[in-house]
Amino acid sequence: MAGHHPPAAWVAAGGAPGAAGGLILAFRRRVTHEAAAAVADRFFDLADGLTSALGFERDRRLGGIYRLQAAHTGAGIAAQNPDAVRRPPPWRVAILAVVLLGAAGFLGTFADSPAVAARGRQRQDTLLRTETAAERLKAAVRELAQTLTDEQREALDRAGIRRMIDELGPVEDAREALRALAEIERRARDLPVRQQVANDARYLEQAGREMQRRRQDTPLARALVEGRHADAAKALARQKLDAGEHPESQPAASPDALGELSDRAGRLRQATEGMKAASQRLADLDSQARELGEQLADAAEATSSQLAELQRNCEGGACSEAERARADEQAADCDARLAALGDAMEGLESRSRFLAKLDDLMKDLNRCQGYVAGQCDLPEGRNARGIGSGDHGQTADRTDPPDGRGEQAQLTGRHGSGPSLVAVVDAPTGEGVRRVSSQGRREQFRRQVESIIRREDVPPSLKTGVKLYFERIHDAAPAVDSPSPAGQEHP
Amino acid sequence: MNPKDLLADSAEARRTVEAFVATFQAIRDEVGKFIVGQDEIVENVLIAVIAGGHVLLEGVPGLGKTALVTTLARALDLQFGRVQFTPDLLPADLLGTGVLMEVDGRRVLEFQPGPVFVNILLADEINRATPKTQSALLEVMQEKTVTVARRQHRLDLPFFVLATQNPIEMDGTYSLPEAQLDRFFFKLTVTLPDHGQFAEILRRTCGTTLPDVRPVADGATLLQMGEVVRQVPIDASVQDYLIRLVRATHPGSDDSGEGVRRYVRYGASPRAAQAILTAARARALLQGRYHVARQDVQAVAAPAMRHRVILSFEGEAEGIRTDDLIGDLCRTLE
Repeated sequence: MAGHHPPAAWVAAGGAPGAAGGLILAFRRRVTHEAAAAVADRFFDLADGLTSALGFERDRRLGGIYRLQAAHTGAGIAAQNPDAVRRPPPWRVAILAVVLLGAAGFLGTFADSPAVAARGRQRQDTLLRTETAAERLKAAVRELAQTLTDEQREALDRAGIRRMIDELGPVEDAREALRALAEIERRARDLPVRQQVANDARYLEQAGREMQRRRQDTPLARALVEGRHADAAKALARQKLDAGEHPESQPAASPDALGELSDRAGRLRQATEGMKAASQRLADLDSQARELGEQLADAAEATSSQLAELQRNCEGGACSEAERARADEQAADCDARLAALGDAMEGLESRSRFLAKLDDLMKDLNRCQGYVAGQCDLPEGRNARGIGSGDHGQTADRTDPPDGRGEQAQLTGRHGSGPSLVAVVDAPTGEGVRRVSSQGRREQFRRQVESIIRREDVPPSLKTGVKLYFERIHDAAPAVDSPSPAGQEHP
Repeated sequence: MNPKDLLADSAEARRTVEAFVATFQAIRDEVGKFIVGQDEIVENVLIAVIAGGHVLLEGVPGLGKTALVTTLARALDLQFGRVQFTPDLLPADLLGTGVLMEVDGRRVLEFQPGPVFVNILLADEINRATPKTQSALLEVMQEKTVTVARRQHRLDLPFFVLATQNPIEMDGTYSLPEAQLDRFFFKLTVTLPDHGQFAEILRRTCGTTLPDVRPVADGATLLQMGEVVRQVPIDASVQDYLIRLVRATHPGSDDSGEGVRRYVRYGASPRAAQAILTAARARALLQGRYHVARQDVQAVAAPAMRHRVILSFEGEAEGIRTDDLIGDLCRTLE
């Protein structure tokens, strides 16, 4: 309560019972015979004579010593001057009431103390910021949901991300809001699909490199290495054997067709050798693409071998219809596996786009965290690359590596000499970690530190000490702010 | 002095009260011949004696406690007995015992009364006797009877025990139990006389002649005075004040103050209220009034309750005086 301005309603609420109590007290303390007798006893120093006489008379005790007592008291009173009796008004009560009213009025003239006013403003500011951030995030997640497939939306809902964002609202405690945002961010970061996409992409990239190592710098290999999985799927589809769709190309059609089919199968086998090698190199990788690639490589190898044998048999005139039929089936199986891998690549592209959108949402979350913490403002307009989910598919350069799978930036610097670049915000589960960009600048860092110190209930003396400490250690370490070496990136 | 007419005839009541006051004043004057100062002590002792109560006098040696009692006995023309309490004193030494006697050739056990069979018993340094011997006085003080060998022997009235104890020499003493303390009507603390009183004591007691104290009242007169006292009226409001005062000495009472709650283990008993009322009535008459006033209650509250209010360990450790606690209660409850 210290420092708060007492609202007028409170003053009135306190005054009304006080006035009622005063009236009741006045009624209760109205002058009675007994009270008057007691006052007279005290005033004339009658030693309870009048009170006793009154009591004896009331009890009808009138004879003998009682009459003597009454007469004795009467004689004592007769010698007194009744006009001298003054029963003073309840000055103390009146003075107390006036003092209380005056104090209430005086307090009413006070405004909130600067500290209380500042806390109030900070609470209002936090309410506004958390409400704004919640609205922006809700709009962002709504727009995101419209662009997602049912499966992707289900993945979001399974993690509870949409529900948590829907539950966001204005709160007075910035730390509570930051914890909620950090929890959402943690869940978005830990989505299982993210790991699956990363594993598939890693395998396919490795497969592309293996192909190039085998001097097969084909469009398929380049697309795989560059992470253009849709293009890779198209390039892969071009290597389809098509044995079932074109009767003229079936092994039974003609020896020429058999030879051509055998050649295509051989090229496919060569292409899939890289996939097999990558699969062996990444044997422990949990990847659907790796399994499909390995199966395709096995199928291509088997098909190629079988077609080559069939061709040799046919040239020797010893190929049977049954062998031809088996070769057809083998080729069809190979095509099916190729199609499955192609579908997986296209699905990977789709999931990558989903993750990119999710990353946009995480950026929004980061901005909202900074905004709620009072470290930055939200950009005006929902698509001013801030809040709101722009269509990543339309704006992103498809040649760019998908977010989260780009080359890792390795920063060098002296260990322990730079500022802490990780701000930890505890989530309810205790696992939430918010990572701030490693390109943090000193001013930003200082604002963060000062913001934390201001928010927490730190004694002023300690607060000043902590502030000076951080200022000194960072002012004394200019290398932290210089772009090199901490700012250098090494592939 | 006719106590029975006190409530019927106002003229007789006046005469009775005047006789009461005159007798009281005569006894006080007679005691004052030998006892210098100690007016309040003397008055309170007389009030207790008139009320039929026992008095515990506490004070360092040489302040005239024993002299006060012996002088009072002489002024009242009563049988006086003195027992010096020592650790080896036995109950039989005090109450009496059966002695084999030969009567008409037969041996019979005949009761030989002890020193308690007097009107005024001076129990000197009562706290030096063992608890067993102290307890032997319980029946005597309360019932005014002695029971030996299943036979009850009634003491002559009036009967008072005036006991003394020394608060300094505590070695070899036995503190009186609460039950026995409660039997004492008053506990009076005898203090050192001032310079003038010292001189007067020396003048009266170190000369060639001692003051001649003569009896001015007898036992019957004392009993009548007690009857008179019991008829002094008290208003309900004053009696209510008295009851609240006694109840306030208990830590659990609503009226008890912070000091009582903190420093008192056990408060005064209803017997204390009886003592206060009787003593206040006597004091009212002595003050020339025909009713009990609050100031009478306040005047006798401390001697009637100071030995009945038992301090807690914290109170004793803090050196709290029961008189201060009682004084505070008197003021706050008025």
